[in-house]
Amino acid sequence: MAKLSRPAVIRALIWKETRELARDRKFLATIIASPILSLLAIALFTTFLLQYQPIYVAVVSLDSGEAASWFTTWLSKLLREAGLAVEEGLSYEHAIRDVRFDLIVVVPEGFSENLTSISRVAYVHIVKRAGAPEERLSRAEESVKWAVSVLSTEVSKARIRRLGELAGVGELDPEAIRNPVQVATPVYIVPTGEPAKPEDILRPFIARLLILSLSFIVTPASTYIVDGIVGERERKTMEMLLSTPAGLVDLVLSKLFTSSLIGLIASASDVAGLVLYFSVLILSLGWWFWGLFDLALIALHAISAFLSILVTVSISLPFIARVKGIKTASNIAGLFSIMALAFFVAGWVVDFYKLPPTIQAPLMVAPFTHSILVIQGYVYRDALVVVRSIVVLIALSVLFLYLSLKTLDREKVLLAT
Amino acid sequence: MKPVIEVVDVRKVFGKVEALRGVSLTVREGEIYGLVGPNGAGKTTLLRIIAGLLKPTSGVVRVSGLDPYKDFYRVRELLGYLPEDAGTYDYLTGYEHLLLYAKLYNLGSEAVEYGASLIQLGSRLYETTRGYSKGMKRRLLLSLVLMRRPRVALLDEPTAGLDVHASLSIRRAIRRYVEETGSTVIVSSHNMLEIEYLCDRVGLISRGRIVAEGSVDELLARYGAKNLEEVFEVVASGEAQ
Repeated sequence: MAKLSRPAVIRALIWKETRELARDRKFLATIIASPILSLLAIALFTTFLLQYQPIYVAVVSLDSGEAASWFTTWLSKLLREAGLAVEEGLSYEHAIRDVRFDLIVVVPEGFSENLTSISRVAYVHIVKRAGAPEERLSRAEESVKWAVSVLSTEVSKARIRRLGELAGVGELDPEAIRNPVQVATPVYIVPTGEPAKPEDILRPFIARLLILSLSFIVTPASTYIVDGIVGERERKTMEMLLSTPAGLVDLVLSKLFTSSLIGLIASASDVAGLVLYFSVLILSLGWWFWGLFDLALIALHAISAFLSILVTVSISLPFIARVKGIKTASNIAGLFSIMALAFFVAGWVVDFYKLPPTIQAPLMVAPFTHSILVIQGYVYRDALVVVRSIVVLIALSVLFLYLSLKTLDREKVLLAT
Repeated sequence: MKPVIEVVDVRKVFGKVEALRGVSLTVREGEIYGLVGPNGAGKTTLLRIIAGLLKPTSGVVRVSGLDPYKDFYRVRELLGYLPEDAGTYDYLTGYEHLLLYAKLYNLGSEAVEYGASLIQLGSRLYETTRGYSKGMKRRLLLSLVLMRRPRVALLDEPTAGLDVHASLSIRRAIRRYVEETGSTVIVSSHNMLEIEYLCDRVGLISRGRIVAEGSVDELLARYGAKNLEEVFEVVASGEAQ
């Protein structure tokens, strides 16, 4: 008989795992399709609703003056261009009672007179309907305020010029009187101090989205390892396999390899889903798009995803291997996935990189902090943090895996209750 | 013939349950040894200990002079184990199962061909095992154990739950295998007819102890019984008293 060889055993197990995986088309299809379809559906759904559920605004004029009439028409045109559904010429009572209108702009009596006076202010009233979504109301209100400020600026400039002429002032810049001290347009810089390009400004947002998307990846890989170990016992293939030269370590390593492979597939599909998500939004909203994508960032996301899976599986392994039922094992794996999820959702809103050391230090114990820092470190162009986080993730994975395997033996795995 | 399997005063305790209470037996080279007993008697625990999957609480087990638990990997080269009610991988074909086990044991195509000849599944060997009957799966599993011609084969309930034809096919395969290779086999079973057909010697196990042992003819003569079922009835009732 040929000599038994450990690498040959691991190769054989990986061959078995990958063959089974390749044939389980439904599982593969769900891993690949889930992020792509869900993100695409979210994007399409959002744009669909935005298109078919505009914000309704009524522009009501209580002033019969010429300036009020012109303003009402001009404001309505501007608001329509901003994507709002505007109706004008309604009575105030009608607009107030019609629940379609989330926001009512009222041009009060005397508006025309006030607009052309230099001793009074011409007010425009905004009435907001309670219960309408605040985000939509804010959008509409901002649009009205913007239109009013445009008009206000032009009127004040005209008045200043006219006063300047009357006073016999030669050279006059109305802006110097309206806003004698101003903040100039802010200049964005990248962490290295160089001026930022538009994509540099948006990159942190993309990075946060990539951190959030890590939560899509950890769950299918955990599910696979649960099915791989507990399922092997439930399908009654475990005992015979353990009686071969395939030791527990070999078995676990082959399962880890395959679950990491699944994680990478999920990660690639996740990135594809994100590309689709942005494509749909950008096509519908007209943003410039391709400059936002950064291959290095996506590569680091893939590395972070792989190591996040490895570390999650390593931690949950001794617990999973000790329970008999797939439901209990799934719950245990779910617990660790939720922990990971908590960090990744926090990474969406919290800048872990900039947390004060007193807060950051205890968080460093959790491997998921490092998964986040791999990506956030890149955004801040801090290569040291990126490399350190990758090294820590690898070290923690190996440590947890070693401890997991130390606490397990054939008997415990075989007789799990 | 020299002893291949030696079990001396083996005990195994799971928490408060004493599954084996001082089992001793010896199985010689080329012998088929039958282990007979009711559910929970300790047959599977004993076979798992001989296979090196469980560690005995006390006592000594030797397979060709090696401790199967401590010398686990060396014993793999000698021993094959078919667990009771073992399963197959739904997404692999029968042929791929043979390939997998050949790879695990670092064997060549000759072993795969031998395994395929044992299983006798024809073209169905190349189909995934999802569509296999229970008998086909059991034949496949048996061939996975025997394809590399182990010197020792432990077969736990090899025909449990199978119909007459499938059971006969498995029994013939075991018999043919031992005749061809001269290997040592322990078969555990509830089926007394199967044990009578297959085994050179029989050990009756009850409540974690071997309560009677000998060839089928010896046991029938010793207890004045017509068949092994009657022997077991007499022995078990004596144990109960």
